[in-house]
Amino acid sequence: MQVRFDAVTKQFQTKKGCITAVDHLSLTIGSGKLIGFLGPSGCGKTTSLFMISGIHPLTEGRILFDETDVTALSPEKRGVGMVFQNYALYPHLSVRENIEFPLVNSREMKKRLMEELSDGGKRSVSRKRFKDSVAERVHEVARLVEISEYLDRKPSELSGGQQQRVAIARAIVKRPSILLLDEPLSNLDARLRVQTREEIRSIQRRTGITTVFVTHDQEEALNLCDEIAIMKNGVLQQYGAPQDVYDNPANLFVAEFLGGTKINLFEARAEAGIVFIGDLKIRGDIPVADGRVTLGIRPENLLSCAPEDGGGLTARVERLIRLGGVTTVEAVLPGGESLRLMKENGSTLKPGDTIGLKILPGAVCLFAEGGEKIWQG
Amino acid sequence: MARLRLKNPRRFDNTAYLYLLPAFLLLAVFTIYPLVNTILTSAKLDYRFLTGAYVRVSLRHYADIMADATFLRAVFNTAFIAFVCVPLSMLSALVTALLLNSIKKLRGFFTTLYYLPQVTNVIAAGMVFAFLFNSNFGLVNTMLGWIGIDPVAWISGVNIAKSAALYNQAYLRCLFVLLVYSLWSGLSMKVVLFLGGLQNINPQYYQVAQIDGTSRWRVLRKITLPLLSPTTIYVFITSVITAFKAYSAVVALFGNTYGPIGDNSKMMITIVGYIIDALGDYLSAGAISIASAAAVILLLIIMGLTALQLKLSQKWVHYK
Ligand SMILES: Nc1ncnc2c1ncn2[C@@H]1O[C@H](COP(=O)(O)OP(=O)(O)OP(=O)(O)O)[C@@H](O)[C@H]1O
Ligand SMILES: [Mg+2]
Repeated sequence: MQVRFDAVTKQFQTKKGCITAVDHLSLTIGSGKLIGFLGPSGCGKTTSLFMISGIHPLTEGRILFDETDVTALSPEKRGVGMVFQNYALYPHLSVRENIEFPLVNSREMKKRLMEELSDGGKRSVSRKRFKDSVAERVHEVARLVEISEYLDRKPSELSGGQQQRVAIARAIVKRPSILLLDEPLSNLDARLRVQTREEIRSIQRRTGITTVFVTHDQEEALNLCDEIAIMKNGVLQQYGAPQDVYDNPANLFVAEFLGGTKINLFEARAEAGIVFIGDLKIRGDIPVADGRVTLGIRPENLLSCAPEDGGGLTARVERLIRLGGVTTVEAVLPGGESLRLMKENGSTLKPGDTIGLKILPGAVCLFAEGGEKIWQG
Repeated sequence: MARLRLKNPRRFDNTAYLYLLPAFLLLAVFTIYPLVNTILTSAKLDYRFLTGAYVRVSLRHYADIMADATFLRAVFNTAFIAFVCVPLSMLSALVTALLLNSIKKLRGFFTTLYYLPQVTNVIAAGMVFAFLFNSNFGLVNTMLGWIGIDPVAWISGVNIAKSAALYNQAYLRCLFVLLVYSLWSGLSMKVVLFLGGLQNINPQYYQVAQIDGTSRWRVLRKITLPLLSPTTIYVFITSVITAFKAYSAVVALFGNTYGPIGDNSKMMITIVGYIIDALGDYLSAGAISIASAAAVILLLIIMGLTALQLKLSQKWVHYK
């Protein structure tokens, strides 16, 4: 099912005044896609999910599922499954009871199940038959998320990762057409995180549920999602395929927010179509008005070479920073600006060396004072 | 790194005992000694308070008490407060707390309002209730008069000596007045405790239920009440124990004859009332022993109930 935000705004009235948590958000989530909401804490990710699920009413705008306007629809009528930021499993119920809770406690769901079982009212359904079919569905999702052996335990007797999967099972047992996951991996250790991430991906592939995945971990979003939406202070900054957003950031915030090693940023100026860092000419022939700009180059787009091959661009190596398999080189330009680049395997750079720099085509981004990108090439 | 050296762990134990000593002394003087003394006194036949003399050790006082109609009445009345008034007032407190919890505006105001009985003097409030239920000029009868009902002799026992039927009717009316008073006076603390328990429940559970389309009734039964059970058990245990110590409320409502005017059977007496009456008679032989024996019985009842409740709570309560 496709989900569309149409100029959605959410404001909270608090004692201290009015907080705009989400500001004119317009966005279309394709059917069957896994998309990520990404942004720093407090940027409105959870609020956006709550508006899809119907827990928070909208202040302004519309939300559409396919072509149906669901803005005024109550949560149970929307039929979404949601995994909360801290799971919210009922502590007094066993895993089995937690998973079957949405099936046996909702009139809406019961009606739907009954209809399914009775072939649209043609056959009568006995109590036992209903119970059996609930049990069957519970087993089915338990197998899917691999928690079959824990069905009789209480949530407190499970590890974080197992609780996580129970929460997913509870959300998908209803066979929702939309699945919302609010930072589902934040409580897991690094290894389990990667593993669960893959599991979520494969569950999503197998079920084909349109899934919205909230995270503030960019690596997670870049790895997992078909598309990512980057938010800041309730405003959508950029929406698109992860690689595309990474390579072509729409503004300084997105450029800085994404990337394992932070993007290199320089105070630069444009003069007669040429952009300089200090006295170094970086690019020429560009259609940018004269003035101060911020110049950004991702570290992996800077290649080191012999000093004479850099076309006048040289730097002195300051330090090497090893991080597992990758080594980052910290270097300074003649004007004193420091920068980072990735060390190639087999290169013998050491502190004190002078290197030449090559910038890959398309790698230079210029940002105006307000942060928006004015040129890339 | 500095390491804590535990050469002789026992030394720490001894120091701990030293620190515990002041508290232990207080406990010994004001709790343990009286407790042991009460148990001993209860077994001394014809014990005289002034001389300390007694005939011999005997459990006769216990037998006497068990055969005393007044004591049995006291046990019944106390049990009425503990097992009828307490559950009913818990129920009304729970409903009130649920309602208060579901409103946003004026919640603080209403909570304060409901808490007021807690800061009111028991004797004063009881006397006000006695006045409300006065047969001649009480507010209750006045209001009944408005809808055409004849005045009811709520807490006056004229003519009750004439027949057992009249006596029983008067008794029922008095129990009713006691129940109304208990509901009113017990509500405040329980509402506050329940409200605290309700606000401790993570709102996410309700959001999950909302997404799942769980009806309000189901949410209450399957989420709220189970998650509230630690509070419920706590309120029940403390209320029942308080109920077994009931005394001043009965005196305030019915006077120190523990009954309506014209009654001389101590109709509404409680166990603590029985003990205090016996103590008041301290000059006569055996009275102190009777009071002690009744106190021991009360202690046993309370201990038994507490043990039972703790056992039950382990089975029912869902701690996080
Ligand atoms: N119920 C509420 N009442 C008032 N303000 C709220 C409420 N819920 C959220 N907010 C505010 O709205 C903004 C967005 O909150 P939201 O929970 O959507 O952030 P988030 O992106 O999910 O952050 P995090 O990564 O920390 O979970 C925050 O400034 C927050 O303080
Ligand atoms: Mg959040």
